[in-house]
Amino acid sequence: MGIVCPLGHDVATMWDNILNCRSGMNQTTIFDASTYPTKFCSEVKNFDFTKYTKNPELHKNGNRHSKFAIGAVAGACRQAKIEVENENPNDGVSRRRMGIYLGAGEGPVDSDIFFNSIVQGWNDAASAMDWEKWHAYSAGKMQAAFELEQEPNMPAAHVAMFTGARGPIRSCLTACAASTQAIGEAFKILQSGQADVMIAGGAHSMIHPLGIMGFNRLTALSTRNDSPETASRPFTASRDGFVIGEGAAMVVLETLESAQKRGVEILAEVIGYGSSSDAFRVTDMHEEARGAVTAIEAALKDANVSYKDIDYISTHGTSTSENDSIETLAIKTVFKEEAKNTPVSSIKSMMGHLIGAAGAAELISCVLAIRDQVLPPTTNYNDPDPALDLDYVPNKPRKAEVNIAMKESFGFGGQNNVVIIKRY
Amino acid sequence: MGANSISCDLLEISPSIAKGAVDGKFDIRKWGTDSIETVTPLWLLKYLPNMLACHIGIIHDLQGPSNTITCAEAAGHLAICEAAQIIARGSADVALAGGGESKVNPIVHMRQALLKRGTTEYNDNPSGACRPFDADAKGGVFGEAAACVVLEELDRAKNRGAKVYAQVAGVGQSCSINAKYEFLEPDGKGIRYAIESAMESAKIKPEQLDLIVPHGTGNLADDIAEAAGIRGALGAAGEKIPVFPTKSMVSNTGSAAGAVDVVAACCAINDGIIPAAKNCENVNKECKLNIVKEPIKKKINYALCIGYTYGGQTAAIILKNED
Repeated sequence: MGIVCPLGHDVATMWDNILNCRSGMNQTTIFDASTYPTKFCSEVKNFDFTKYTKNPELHKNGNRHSKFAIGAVAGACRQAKIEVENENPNDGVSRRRMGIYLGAGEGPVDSDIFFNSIVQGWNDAASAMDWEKWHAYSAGKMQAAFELEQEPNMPAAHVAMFTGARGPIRSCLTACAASTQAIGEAFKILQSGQADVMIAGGAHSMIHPLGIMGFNRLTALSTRNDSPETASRPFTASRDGFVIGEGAAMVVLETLESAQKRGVEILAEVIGYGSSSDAFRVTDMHEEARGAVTAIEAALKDANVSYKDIDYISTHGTSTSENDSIETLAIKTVFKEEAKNTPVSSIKSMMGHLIGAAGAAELISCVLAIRDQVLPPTTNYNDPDPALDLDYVPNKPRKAEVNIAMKESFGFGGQNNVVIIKRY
Repeated sequence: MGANSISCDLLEISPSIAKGAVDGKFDIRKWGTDSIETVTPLWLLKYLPNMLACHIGIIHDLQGPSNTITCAEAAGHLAICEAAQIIARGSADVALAGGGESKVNPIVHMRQALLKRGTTEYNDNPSGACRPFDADAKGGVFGEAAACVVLEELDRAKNRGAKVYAQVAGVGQSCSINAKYEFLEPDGKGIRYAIESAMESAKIKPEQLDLIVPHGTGNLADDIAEAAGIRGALGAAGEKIPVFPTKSMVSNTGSAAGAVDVVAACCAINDGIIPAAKNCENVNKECKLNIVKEPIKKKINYALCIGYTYGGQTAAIILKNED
């Protein structure tokens, strides 16, 4: 496992911060958000990708999230004894049997050029664009390398160059569910025999002028500008939106046979994956949690376990009014009499919402919950929403027996993805 | 669905951004104060790549798995690969698979021109501009499209009396690794690996292929590398199998391209005809492929579709005639 996130640049630091209930939120520094409705976020701080690569030239044009991906993959591969940046690796994994599946975002536009090209080209009197002016400005300023890096398949390109992987390589973007979907599909690629090893996870940063503007216009973000650290408060009565974060989180998935042959430590076993669509609305989740329920049930069936066997649910838990209510309803629908006895929590209360990378980061916390037999908490849980009455593991971590854990992710547009892991 | 990041509709957002200017320069504080709220509330949702699949899901009430593959020009192929595997593993009975993209946008055209992937010649001859594998190829031409196929488990389709256009007999995926990652590695190894995997999963020999629909963009370096990959995977047969590139007529439609090519191959299989290639009168000497000069009427038993993209992802799909 490897991670670069607002709570640290490695898994151990992230986990220590979570178990100590620390927040990753800060006033936005990546760009000047001082007049935006939301002026804070959860940034990756002081990250230097050159520490992770012998070949920084090759990755220097990469966007923030591609560089985060390099850092996270470096950590994951070190733990899984997979050699990186080596044309003749001696780690027992054929590169044609090693694939990559990322849930990754597009890179931000080069804001300065983008905005000023419009200012230069716009003819306000005619309410029209003067394309010649726009073109003259843009052609002189836009740089090929940075333009290329805005494409959403670029993190996967950098990870392929970094690891030498030549097996099945895919990148998906199903909004906030992307990296859970990537890990689920990577698991299925291994099961189908097309690869022995899959590097799977997510990388995303939408902390840029258009991203924050877009989420603000959707009224999806918390505007609790006077208290960023307590703004993400999933399942509470006063929740007012999510806090956007950024980062990359990666896991190395491997067939049991290959992992045993190579003698690597097995941290947990992926046992089930379920995927569904709401097919309801572009903006809203289905009010009866139809899609979420279908995905959870499909994952349970795929894992061949009952809801009674689930010891912990890592929720999507965004701290938006809609998600937290409908997710609670979905859990109650599937878990019936066990719903209130099954601990569920949201580390987004500390981490913020890493969008495409969120599911992978949270799946890592499930693995650690199993390893340490401790449940990560939902922090800032000081005013329970009376309508939401599950065990949200409030405000401090809790010792518990955790053998099987479930990760849920739901994306804008109605994609629902669930992965179940088991203690090995 | 294969889809890509959707470039900004400049005309829509420009009035708001223009209001954020102070003395002819963009001022983000002014924009935040004065004009963010003039942007349409659902603006962001127009630009999420997964919205194609989301809208299709809503229109047709599709509640099974939905994914959006964002591997640029290989996305259409890879979406079909994944959907075939979802059917094979029993996670769905029927899948809509394909891709859609519009590259007709000032930013996209500028980007591709700067990357030297788009031609800046032939402005007086648009229909002759895209020349895959041709000696006079000067770069790609970008367009827009959507294409989609319905995938279904074979017996299930036959039982309900659906017309079977072709069977997905094998898929392969790999990656090109090149320090200049906007182009393929010159030896086409990533293409070769994808084709070899697809041939292995289809369990056929190169001689059994009757048609190749290549990615063929009209970027000479990429066309030569792709041809090398084809010949590397298929050996001597790779120089003989008829090759029909589509982009000389359809243009490079990005995430839709792979699905466009699969649809074209299905049509060729069903009609028993391989159309003549366009804009490839003089095959580049280094390509050594059998580009179709005149339409060929023949039974096509197996067809191979190949895709790749800047950034390196590669894919190959083998379709089988179900007659």
